[in-house]
Amino acid sequence: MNKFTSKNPKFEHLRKKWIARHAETSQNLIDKHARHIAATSLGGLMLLSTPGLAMSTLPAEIAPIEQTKISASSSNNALLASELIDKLPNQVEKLNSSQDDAIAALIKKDLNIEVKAEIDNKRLNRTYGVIGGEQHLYRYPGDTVHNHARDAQDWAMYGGSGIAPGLGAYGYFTPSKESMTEEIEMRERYYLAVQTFLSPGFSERVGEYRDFYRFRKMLVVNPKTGQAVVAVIGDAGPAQWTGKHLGGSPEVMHELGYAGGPRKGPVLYYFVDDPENKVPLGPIKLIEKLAES
Amino acid sequence: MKFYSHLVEIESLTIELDSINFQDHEKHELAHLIDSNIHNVVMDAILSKLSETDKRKFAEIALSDDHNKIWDFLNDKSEDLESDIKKAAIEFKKKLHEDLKEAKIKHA
Repeated sequence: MNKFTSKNPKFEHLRKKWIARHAETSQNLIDKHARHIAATSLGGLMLLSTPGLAMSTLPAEIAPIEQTKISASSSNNALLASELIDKLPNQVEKLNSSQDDAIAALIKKDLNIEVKAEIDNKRLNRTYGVIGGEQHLYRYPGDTVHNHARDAQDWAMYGGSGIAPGLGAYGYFTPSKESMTEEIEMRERYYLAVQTFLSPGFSERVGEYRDFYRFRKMLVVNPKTGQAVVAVIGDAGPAQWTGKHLGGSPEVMHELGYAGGPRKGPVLYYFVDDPENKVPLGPIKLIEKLAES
Repeated sequence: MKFYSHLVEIESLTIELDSINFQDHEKHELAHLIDSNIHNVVMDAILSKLSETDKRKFAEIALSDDHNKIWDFLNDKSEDLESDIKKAAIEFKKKLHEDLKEAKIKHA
């Protein structure tokens, strides 16, 4: 783990204070509960949120077990990436239907997700394009970027992306804070902006297409790494002049491995064929974990 | 996402942290400390309400990270647990706010 140095006195002050508080809260847990629970189990409870930090303040017998197991999903993602190499053109360009079919079959085989380039005779203008990072969206009137964070790590990771000044193409996700549900939270967390306005037939039947695309599930894959995430269409865009073909929420970009640097890169994107709404939103590794449990 | 995230509001802390100019790595380190501390406090609030046998069972269930399973178990054991978690987190956050205030005053 890289150790950073800092000359920010406010940071150093808080870091020292909060490390001391952590030693105190850890010791309190040990003193009050360790004799009732197996030492390794108590270490496991602490591991839920403190993979590195807790170890320095815990007795050796309670130190959490290091997680080194490589998940099946990670290797499936890598397998997909290796198999996509000879299926894709050198340039990021539109794919033909036989290329789409071959890729959909690979995704089914490696990630066990049914995807399609076309559903109900509707398709986007392309399935292979450049994704760029978007900001958070307002979910309800009065929403703030700070409200989006589930915990402090979330704030540190995604808070800096900010919140778009205007509403998305579909307005608020829900009318009020009180009507928020986990499903709605997940929709904003894993949302895409796609160029719905460029899909064939859109201008002739705007209302029908708008309803079709609103919160439609899509699978997005980074073909270089196989990292994949299920997201919903939560906005329309980006404009053609940007040179990008779709946009992803801060969380989507993170899961695709595009959160750093220029925050953009090539992706494959297909509709998820999920009429019974069984495929959860989020990175594919999470889906596999849920499926196993 | 932790099984108790919906009970612990951290907005007031992150607003306060955003008022200080931290670098990204500093934000991540402080965020990690906040979450770790709150986690310990929440675990203590939960374990303090459970019998010795239930503490062991909880330790097993919590590791599964199946939120429904965890809450089914906890709701069966205690009615006020959600309220206890909220109270414990609020009390602890007061300390973190005091630390933030102190850092700002000492290093103004």
